[in-house]
Amino acid sequence: MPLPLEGYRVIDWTIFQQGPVCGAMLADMGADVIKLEDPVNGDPGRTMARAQGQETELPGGRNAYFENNNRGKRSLTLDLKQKRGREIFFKLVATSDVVLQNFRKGVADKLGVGYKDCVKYNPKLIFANGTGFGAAGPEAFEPSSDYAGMARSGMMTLVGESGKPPPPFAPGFADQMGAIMLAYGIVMALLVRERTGVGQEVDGSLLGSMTQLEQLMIAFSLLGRPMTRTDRTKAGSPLWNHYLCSDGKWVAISCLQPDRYWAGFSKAVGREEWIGDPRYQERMARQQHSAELITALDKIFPTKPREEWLEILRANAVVCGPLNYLEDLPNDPQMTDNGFIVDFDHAAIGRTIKIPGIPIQLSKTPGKVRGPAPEFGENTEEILLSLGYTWDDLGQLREGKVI
Amino acid sequence: MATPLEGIRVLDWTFFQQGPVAASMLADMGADVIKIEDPVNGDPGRGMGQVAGQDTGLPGGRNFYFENNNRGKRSFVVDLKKEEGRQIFYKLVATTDVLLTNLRLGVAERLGAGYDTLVKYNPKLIFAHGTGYGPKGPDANEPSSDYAGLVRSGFMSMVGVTGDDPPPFTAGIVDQIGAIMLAYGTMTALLVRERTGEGQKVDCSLLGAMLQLQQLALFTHLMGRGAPRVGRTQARNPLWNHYKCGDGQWMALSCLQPDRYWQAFCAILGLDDLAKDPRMKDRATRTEHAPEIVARADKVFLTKPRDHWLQEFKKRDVPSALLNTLNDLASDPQYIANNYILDFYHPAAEKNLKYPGIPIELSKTPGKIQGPAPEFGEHTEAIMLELGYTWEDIGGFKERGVIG
Repeated sequence: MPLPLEGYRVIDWTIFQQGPVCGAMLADMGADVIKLEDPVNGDPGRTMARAQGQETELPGGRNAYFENNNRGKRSLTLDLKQKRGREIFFKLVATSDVVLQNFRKGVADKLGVGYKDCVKYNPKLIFANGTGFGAAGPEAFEPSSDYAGMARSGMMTLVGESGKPPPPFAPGFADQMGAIMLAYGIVMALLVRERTGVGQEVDGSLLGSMTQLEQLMIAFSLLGRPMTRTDRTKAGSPLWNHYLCSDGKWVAISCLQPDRYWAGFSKAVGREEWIGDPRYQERMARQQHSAELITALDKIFPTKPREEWLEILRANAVVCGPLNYLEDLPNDPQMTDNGFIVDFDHAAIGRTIKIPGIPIQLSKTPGKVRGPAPEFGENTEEILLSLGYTWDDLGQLREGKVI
Repeated sequence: MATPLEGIRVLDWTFFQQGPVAASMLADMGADVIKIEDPVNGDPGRGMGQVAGQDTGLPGGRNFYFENNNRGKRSFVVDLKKEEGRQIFYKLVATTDVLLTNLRLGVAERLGAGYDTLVKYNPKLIFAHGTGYGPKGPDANEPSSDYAGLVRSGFMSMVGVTGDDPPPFTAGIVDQIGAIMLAYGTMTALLVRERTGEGQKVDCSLLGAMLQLQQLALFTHLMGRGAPRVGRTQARNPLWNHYKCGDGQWMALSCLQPDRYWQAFCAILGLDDLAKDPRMKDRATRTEHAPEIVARADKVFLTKPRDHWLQEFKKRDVPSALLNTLNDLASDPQYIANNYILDFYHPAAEKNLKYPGIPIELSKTPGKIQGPAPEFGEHTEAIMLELGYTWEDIGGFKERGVIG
């Protein structure tokens, strides 16, 4: 069976993360994604020296930031500021299904390659814009970033204890979320086009995407019932909490229906006397005594390593699991058995490396990681030849620094 | 123009959050979403009295956990443990495009409603399954939850200062991304079916969905390039950091190219000595002295309210951002202008309520909130009539407890 998006072509005119990851998601699903880059500067993500303190340099002169965000694409370098460059662009647009871009609002129009220009060459085109703050509003034209998306969306105040300063986050979540929702919008627009023949513009933003991620919390807050965060020692239910084990690893107990699990849990932690104790009989009573229970449990869990606790808890049918750190994931069989982390043979990096796989499984047309990120301009020639340009033309265009 | 999914029917056999939200996203986009519920228990989300210590009760006897996760659906109550109930269900399956469930692996099969059974009634069916840990692996059959996804995915360890205990989170982020990716997979399968005529199974789990959210950080880590997170006073780039202002509000500076903005930063904050200091001349040398810069900036930011600082930074084109709390969103003009938060008339409350809107804008076929969450069994009769049953049939089924 083919990949889900096989036969679709996407012009991926994007930079940094939000746009590129969206293109990479479509590539994972089988689209022919052509990364269009300026011949002089290219995507600045290629030379992103550090992503928030993380060294990005990889063997083979690659860069982890660019590599992840551009897997499975082809690279075409083209100067859109030149008329000849735009002519090639429109020729490509005529053969494409989607144009994807995350420049600031107005940039594409100023260059003469906005939706209104492109649609003349392809009336059924889908033109997808990834922005920071949405297509409307006082800051529609402002630059944005992952950090701005995290800060503006309220996400930074959803973690840590209420009232404490917003905590530091590993980078990239808002951009990633922006990419996900934009890919969702594009697939939806492709579906609409298959059903009705109509192409259209799709707008996705960091703020809008974060709204979807935070939807439940926002809905609560809008109704005047903001959820609060407390320290784990003050958790309302001791069966919805995490505990440190003797080997320094954390185990999380996550029983949504704690009354059902109280007896099994008490047995597992060797406190059978808790089962009949009226103070702990049901959820509301336990909530009043939660702090003392957690204090007791914080002494019990450090007596055994996590693996042992998981075994004992599961034997007593308690809903529980390990609290992983990122370095634990490649060794978690749940991650590898489902293809969430896969081995990938990367020619340039020169060894079998582990990379994030595909999060969604389609039984007949699964996606797959289709290739590394392309070298700068790696596929310019083959793409232009496929558009009908000759080697002579290519020479001229290169001389004129169009490609 | 129509909504994007007009004419597409989704049977939403889900409970709690991950499954229900995926279906409500499809409802936002115009699908006819029929929520299937058991006559005795219904979706336990209906009775969720408290979430994270907050009372969920709403005027009109509603509950906002259920209300948010089920907006725009119809409710159909049928007992799948009864043979007659299953026959009605199969009839409904034959008229549907997507069956969406987040029951534990194996439960649908036990009830005679697994993929292999249902495709007999609808060969082009898309069977979308949301799980906790994915369809394979040693824990595939384990129950899961938002919290379980949070801890298992490593996300909890990606916030706060490296080495500190994992911080508390507000509830619901992981179920939400689980729903989003499941909706994405369902949409992809609908597109494939439109092109090839083939239906199929779609699996998406909390772990898989988190993988997409964490992708960049995870890749960097897998490449052996992970770095510890430090507190904001130790930030390596003072122009990529958040600061508390004189009115107690926070704002963030988000300069990816700090060299370009360093002079403006110093001028705005009146740090003239730092502007001339050779130790601070470029990013690399500034990194060594970053804690000193942050400490100086912290003091200055506290002297004026946030609006003042935001205007100053904007005047000089320095990338900066509001650091909102959720309470701020409803009055943030950017949210309102883009309909990310909108007024929604709720018939049970008999007034407009502020609702999270639709995050994606399609220029010709935009989505919209199709309605409130349905009352338990609100649409059972209407849907039975659509399936061709008579009022007499309906009366009989009700008496036998098959439908509700």
